[in-house]
Amino acid sequence: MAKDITPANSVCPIYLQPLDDAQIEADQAASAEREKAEADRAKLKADTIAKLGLTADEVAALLS
Amino acid sequence: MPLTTYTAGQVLTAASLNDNLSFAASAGGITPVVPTSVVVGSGTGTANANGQVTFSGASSISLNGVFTSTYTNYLMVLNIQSRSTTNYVSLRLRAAGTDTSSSSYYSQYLRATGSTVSANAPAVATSSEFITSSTNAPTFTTATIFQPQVAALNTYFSNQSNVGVPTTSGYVEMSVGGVNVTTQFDGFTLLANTGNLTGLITIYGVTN
Repeated sequence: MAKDITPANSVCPIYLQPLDDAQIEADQAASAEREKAEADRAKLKADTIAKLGLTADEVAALLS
Repeated sequence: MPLTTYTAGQVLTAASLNDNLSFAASAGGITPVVPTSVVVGSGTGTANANGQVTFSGASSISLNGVFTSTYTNYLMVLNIQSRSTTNYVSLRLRAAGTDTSSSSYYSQYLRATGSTVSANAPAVATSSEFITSSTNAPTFTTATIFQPQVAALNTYFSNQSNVGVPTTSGYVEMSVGGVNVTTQFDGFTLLANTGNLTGLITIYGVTN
């Protein structure tokens, strides 16, 4: 249930309506998945650089 | 009516003034839009007469009634002056006060910090990635939202953000995305994945 929290100086109504728990849980699961994917990608990149024996500067030079 | 210019001593009539105001209103440019209401997931908010919404401690911020048939496209100017913790921000479109939260959102981002460049197109999701730099730095974004109210067409957005420059070694970021449904949206929600946001947001209609 939205709670009206409109201050006197607002020209339109402002409501407080916290997200429901199921939605928060779904969003947090999606966030965790995203962060894992990014971490996996970063690890793959670091592992590949390590395997090649190049420094980060050398990789940047190769890709520029 | 064309624009009327006046000479010294000429009588200014109401009709002539109104014609000039109509001319100015239809001449193009952008017009701030006042939301019909604002919803925050936590914290507080206010909206001033120019449509600028101030929010504080908001885990989410929803603007209702900003997209209408008057304009096809809209600009968003967003100042996230502080984030309570390291987080990032996603976008949902909404209609009649309810978010569309089906798995219909697509996005692609490109961001850089120092000489490190990252890009990704996350899998279709229940929201679009909007500001992807996971940080607690202040973030300043200008975005364009395309055709949210046009029947039978998808809604698209593109934005660019300054994340924490110059106060930290920050990010330059661009993201694009949209929702693959043809709902006629009248608003949107920005969601912090965790923590909350404090700042300002204004929506402008772009004259057709």
